[in-house]
Amino acid sequence: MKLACDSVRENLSLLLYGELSFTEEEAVQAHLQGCTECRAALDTERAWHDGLALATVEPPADLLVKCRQQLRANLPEPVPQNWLQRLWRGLDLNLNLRSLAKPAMALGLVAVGYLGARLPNLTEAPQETAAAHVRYVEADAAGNVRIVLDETKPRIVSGRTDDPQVRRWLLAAAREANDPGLRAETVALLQGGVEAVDVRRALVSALESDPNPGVRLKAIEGLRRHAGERDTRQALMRVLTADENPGIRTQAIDLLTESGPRSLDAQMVGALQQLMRREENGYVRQRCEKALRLANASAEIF
Amino acid sequence: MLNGDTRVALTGQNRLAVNMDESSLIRAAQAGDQDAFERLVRGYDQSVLKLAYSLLRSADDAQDIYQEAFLRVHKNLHQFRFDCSFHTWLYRIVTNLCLDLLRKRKVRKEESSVVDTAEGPRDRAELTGDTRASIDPQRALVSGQLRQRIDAVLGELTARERMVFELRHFEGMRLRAIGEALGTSEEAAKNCLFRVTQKMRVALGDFV
Ligand SMILES: [Zn+2]
Repeated sequence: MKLACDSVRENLSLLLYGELSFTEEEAVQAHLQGCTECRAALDTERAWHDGLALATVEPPADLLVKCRQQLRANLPEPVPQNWLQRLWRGLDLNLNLRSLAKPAMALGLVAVGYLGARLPNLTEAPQETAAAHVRYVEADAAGNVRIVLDETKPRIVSGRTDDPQVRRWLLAAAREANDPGLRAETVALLQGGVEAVDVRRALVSALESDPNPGVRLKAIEGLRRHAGERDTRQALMRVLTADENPGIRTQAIDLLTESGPRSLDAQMVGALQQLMRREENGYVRQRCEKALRLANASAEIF
Repeated sequence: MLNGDTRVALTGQNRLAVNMDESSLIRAAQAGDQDAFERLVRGYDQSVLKLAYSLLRSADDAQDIYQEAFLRVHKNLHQFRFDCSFHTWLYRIVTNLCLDLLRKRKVRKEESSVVDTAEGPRDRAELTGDTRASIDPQRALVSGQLRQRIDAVLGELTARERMVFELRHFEGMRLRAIGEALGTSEEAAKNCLFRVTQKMRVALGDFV
């Protein structure tokens, strides 16, 4: 299919977005190889794409917090499920025991029960119960108070990393933990279990979506031995152009090209050439060019 | 560390509070677990707010969209049947709300041609694009003409074009996902994006 310059230029943006169909992209690429003017037009196209970054705006810093507070206030109360919950529904659920226990104890009328063993003995020092959250409080006319606590007690799960229960927690932590340091540790531990499909999936998912580059680096290390597999390769190719961290992009190039020229199939070459079009980091460009030379493919398309 | 003995300390607080993946989180929220609902919200609310703010350029409007969107999610979550991703489901709600507001604004804009600016009332025809853009002093400092021109083009787009462009260019969503969120085909979203890029090229191509 031979394309006219006009129709190539109309499609340059879609090319940059990677939203042309396979055949469309082939045709555009073929035309670009032989047409200096359209290559210049592509540079211009890319320049105004970059220029659009000037139009981005960030919400004011405190807006998210405001929104969350407002939402919490606007949400309907949970439907009461038992007599306990019917009482004191308006009470702030995060009320700390320490602030509550004092006046209650002063009355000398504190009765605590419910939730069986999960409740602490109130003779414990308040400091130790500070982490517990009061969920419901109920008082009767005689001045008796009943408090139900939501407690978070540390629990230890131990075993080898291939123990299903340990594995389950590790996978959850790799995905869910708020602390990036903990996620990185967990991902590092999971590297040992990379033979298992769910672990590999977790590593791929961390690599593609964890906001912390340290965690993504651990994940990409873990995938090294599986860089030849289809799913992993697909993910690595996406990372090539999607990850904002040049160190990780470099790692991805290394892993994808590690097994020599035979790993450089057409799709891979396409991905590298796409990277060359977008890459601004000189070092990454160099690595990319080197890989393309290895594949005897042109890095000079643009 | 290969299959070494591992101790996973499950301390309370936020660290490893629950090991729920998103679908169990949704199920728990559907069953009325407020905590699960809140965690579900927190997985998405930052990007929802960013999208609304970027499209509407107003903190108040973005805050309204945020509230309305997540209240609707809360109200209708029991109808979520896992036949699309939660992200898609949520973005259907959010993009609809934003589109409505963008459209309302367009109507308002066409109704009155005189607008207030920092320099007093002026005819809209004199101003390029979004008036908020032209009166924001910081914007004028940092950006200069390119930014004004971008805002002008963005202001001229239809609500739908504006949405598709925002999702593709600034949010990096794939056209297929955009189509799903907007309840249209990938092809329709592509046509829409194509139109926007033609307009952008005309307005900005000689500028860069
Ligand atoms: Zn040409």
